Amino acid sequence: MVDFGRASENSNSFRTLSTTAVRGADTVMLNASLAYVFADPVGRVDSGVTSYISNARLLLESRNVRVFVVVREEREPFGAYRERLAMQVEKIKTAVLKVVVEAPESDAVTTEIPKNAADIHIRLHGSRQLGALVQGLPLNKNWLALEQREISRASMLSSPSKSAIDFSKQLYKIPDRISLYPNPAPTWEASTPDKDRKKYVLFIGRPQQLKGVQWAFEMARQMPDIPFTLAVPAPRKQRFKNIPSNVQLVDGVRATKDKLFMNASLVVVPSLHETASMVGIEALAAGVPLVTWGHLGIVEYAAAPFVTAVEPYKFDDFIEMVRATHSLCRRYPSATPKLNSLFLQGINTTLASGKCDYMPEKARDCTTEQVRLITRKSIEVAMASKQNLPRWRRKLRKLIRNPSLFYKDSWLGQVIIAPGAKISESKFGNTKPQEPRLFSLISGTEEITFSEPPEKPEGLITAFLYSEDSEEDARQIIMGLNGFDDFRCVCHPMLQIGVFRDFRDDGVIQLINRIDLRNKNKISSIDHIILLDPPPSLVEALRSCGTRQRTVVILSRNDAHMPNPWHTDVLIVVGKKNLNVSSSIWRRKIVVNSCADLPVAIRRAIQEGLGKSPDMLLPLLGFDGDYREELLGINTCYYKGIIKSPLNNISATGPMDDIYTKLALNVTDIAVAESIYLRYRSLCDQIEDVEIRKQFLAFSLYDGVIFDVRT
Amino acid sequence: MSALKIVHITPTPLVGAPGKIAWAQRMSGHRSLAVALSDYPEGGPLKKTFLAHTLEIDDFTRAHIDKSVRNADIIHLHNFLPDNWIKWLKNLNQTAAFVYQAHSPLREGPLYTERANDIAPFEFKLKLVVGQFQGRFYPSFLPVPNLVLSPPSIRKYQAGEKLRVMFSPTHKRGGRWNAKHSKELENSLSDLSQLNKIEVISPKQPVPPETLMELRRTCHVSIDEIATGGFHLVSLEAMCAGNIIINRADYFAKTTFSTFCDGQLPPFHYADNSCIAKVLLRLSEDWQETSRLQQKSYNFFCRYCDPMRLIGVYDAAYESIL
Repeated sequence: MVDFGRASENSNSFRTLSTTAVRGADTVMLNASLAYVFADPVGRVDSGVTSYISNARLLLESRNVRVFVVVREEREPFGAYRERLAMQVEKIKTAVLKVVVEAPESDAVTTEIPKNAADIHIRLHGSRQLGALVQGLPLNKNWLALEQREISRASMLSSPSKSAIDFSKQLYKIPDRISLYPNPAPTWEASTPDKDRKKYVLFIGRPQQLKGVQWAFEMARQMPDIPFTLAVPAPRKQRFKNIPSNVQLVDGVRATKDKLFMNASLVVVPSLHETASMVGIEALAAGVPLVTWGHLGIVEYAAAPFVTAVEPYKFDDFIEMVRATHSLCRRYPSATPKLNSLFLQGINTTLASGKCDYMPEKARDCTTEQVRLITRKSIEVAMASKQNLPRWRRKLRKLIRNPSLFYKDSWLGQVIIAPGAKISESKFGNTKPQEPRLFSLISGTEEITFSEPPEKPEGLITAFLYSEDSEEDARQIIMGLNGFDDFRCVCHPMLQIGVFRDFRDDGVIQLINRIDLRNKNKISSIDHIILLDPPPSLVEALRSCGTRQRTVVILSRNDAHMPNPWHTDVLIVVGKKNLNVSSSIWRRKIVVNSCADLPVAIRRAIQEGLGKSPDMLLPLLGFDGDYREELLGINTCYYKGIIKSPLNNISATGPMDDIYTKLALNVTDIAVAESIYLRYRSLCDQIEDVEIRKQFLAFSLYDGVIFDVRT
Repeated sequence: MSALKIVHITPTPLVGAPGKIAWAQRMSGHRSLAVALSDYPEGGPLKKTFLAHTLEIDDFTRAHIDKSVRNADIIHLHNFLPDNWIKWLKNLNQTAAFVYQAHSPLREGPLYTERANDIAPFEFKLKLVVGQFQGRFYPSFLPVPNLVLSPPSIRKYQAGEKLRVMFSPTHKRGGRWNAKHSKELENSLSDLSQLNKIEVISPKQPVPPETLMELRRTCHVSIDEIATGGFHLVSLEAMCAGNIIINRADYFAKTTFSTFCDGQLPPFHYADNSCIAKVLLRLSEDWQETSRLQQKSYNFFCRYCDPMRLIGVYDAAYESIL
């Protein structure tokens, strides 16, 4: 069982999750074979990232997507969290075909996820570093480098607003392939406004300069006739001074948000910067208008008068707009259906590796200079509200109020790495793009490449390649194989997954020529290649590229092509009526009734072919008399069997077929090692038949088996 | 058999094999020419090493080669022919009898794939395969022998002498049938050498075939390979040099070769990783037995492996299709 930490409800049994296909036009890529993992490095209910993940999770789960959320525990070092996230992604990967990990760019939490383990989706929620930038706080270059690395290597990138991209570009190189689509919104239960209560202006957020709490108080001071409700976490613990009389402080964590919105005339979002503002989105979901600064991402979610944008930081204009909106006291239709629909479209397009722009409102084109100007203004605002305390007093206050944060932000916290947070420059300095997760994607006439098979743990490596048309069957088989905890060579990470689609059969030689030497070496390191309904030439090409791999070919469909017996070590046929497989002679043939039996059949096919120790000789033919000495006296490391024939000289003059025929006709005794018996079981079981005996000789010699032939 | 006009076409010199066949065919009265589409790569150790009896196609030789191909009775293709050269051949001659011969490729993998089918549009009247271990990959192909053109010689092991053992694996790659190197063998050679029982001659860099042959003539034992059940050209060259041949050739490899030798199995000396040290030690200590086995090798080569005799196998094969 996998422990996904906090906020992992409904995820305790991913092996038995529903396999129902997803329906609907907005679920092309979001299908049952996908696991969507959200990394939540914040894990606080008052955090926008956590709210976003909560909304997105509900929405995706309603579309039958398997969603997992890995939350950073309170006080958990980032290094430990990164490793835990990577480990849990590895575990999830054992049960599904595709894993997507979505994480904010902040804190580079995906750094420990190995290449090929999952597709990484970075969504720009605004990093801590960006927060520091707009407040004029020092930046952590190491942190920035890590975050840049994750942005660069991510296979998918998205942003909840154009504003987020514009501002993030001050710190990171943002690739052009970034998608734009809104954050999802919650669905509030309909509740009746409190008629006796006067409507108020609502502020929700942490009491920080970054969230513009100072302006909220200032607004209340300048508009004493308008009631203000400030929902902040643990208001009693906050040390607010000179709270205006028209301000009511409520516990933003415990308060029921829908009730807060129902009695609000408007919501103010005066933050220095927000990529979207989840508070703003929640207000839109409740149909409550909001007033905010024009450079915030929420402006791109709805137009005025639903969202009123004020030029930053013209505070007087802001007050004027708040007053006007409050006096109107209007309600608008909930923006939730529209935002959620756009979110699903956006995530689908992004998963399909497409760039998209599904923002409800067109963003204002902002030049780099304008962004810098706004940032400079933000810094001025932040600095102005620092109360001009001496540095030592600010530090001392911080140490008393929050020793943990003091340590983390101090130089000591940067030098002494917390246990579990293994950060090495060289490791994170590597900015190579992540390679595709699949072991191989064989399509059209393109060059055939394979990912590097795992070096650790040591052991047999198995590749499973399937046709894109058989994806559902393949998924079932992979899940079945992953269930064999006692036979790890068919489980993750030893099981490599490959897909072939739009396969063009130009012949074996052409196919082999599409694999360069480096990739031939990679496929050579695979011990078993399992192919589901493959084109025959692919089986031959893959077996011919290496020197030791065995091929297990599964024919599950009636229209599947018959493979070449010379290049098929094991043939597994689903259904007895399938194909004319009985017309050929196979090394090992297994017939199963249905696809559900395939995992066990595959395991049999592979396990039978593994070495035996001790590898005793097994008499198949003859050896009627005193044969013990002969059978025990042979070293099966060098000879895999004894063949006896009374003919001193076969005197063949033709091809090898003639030699096989003459020997098969004249053989009196055959004993083979048990490993050989199991590898060629379908032939050994019928060894009395001369034709089968001849084919047994031909196949085994072709495969490199050496017999001690005694004449 | 009347004289035939034969052209051998090979993508690379294939360590001189087609050239040697052409030479032997010329010596037996045919007009035979071996043509390599290109030599081994520039700067590599094999460049210009195996072109003794083979013409490389270039501006100077092209006209003569075109004329030979146009007039050929038999066009004997070795291993593979790229598409553009198929077109060239088709334009020059479509009436000759086309023969295909499979050799070992550089890497073992393609050995498992029949490439004759990909050399369209020719219909091969005859498909041949080198008659050592390769026959098991092409069981319907007719085995034909590799040739050694050097004159045979023998330098017998004498009392008081140190046993000279040659081991010259061309690569260390693994494989079902193409492996040549084994750690146990290397250790045995090193140990016996340090005990002063044998002297190992093992070139560290690739040397020309003539040099290797002359060195072999000074040896008493040649080790082909003991990693698989096959044998290679080295075994035939060792017989030519009057060496005891150590390999692990199985019944089928030896039987295939015996089809060229009136059914006589070649006098290979069996050894595997478990007994190689013991075998070499015994040979080094029993000079009379070693000398007798050397003589046996030498006699077998002289009796059955003379190129003018073995070329008759090719003649017989051609005759069956003409």
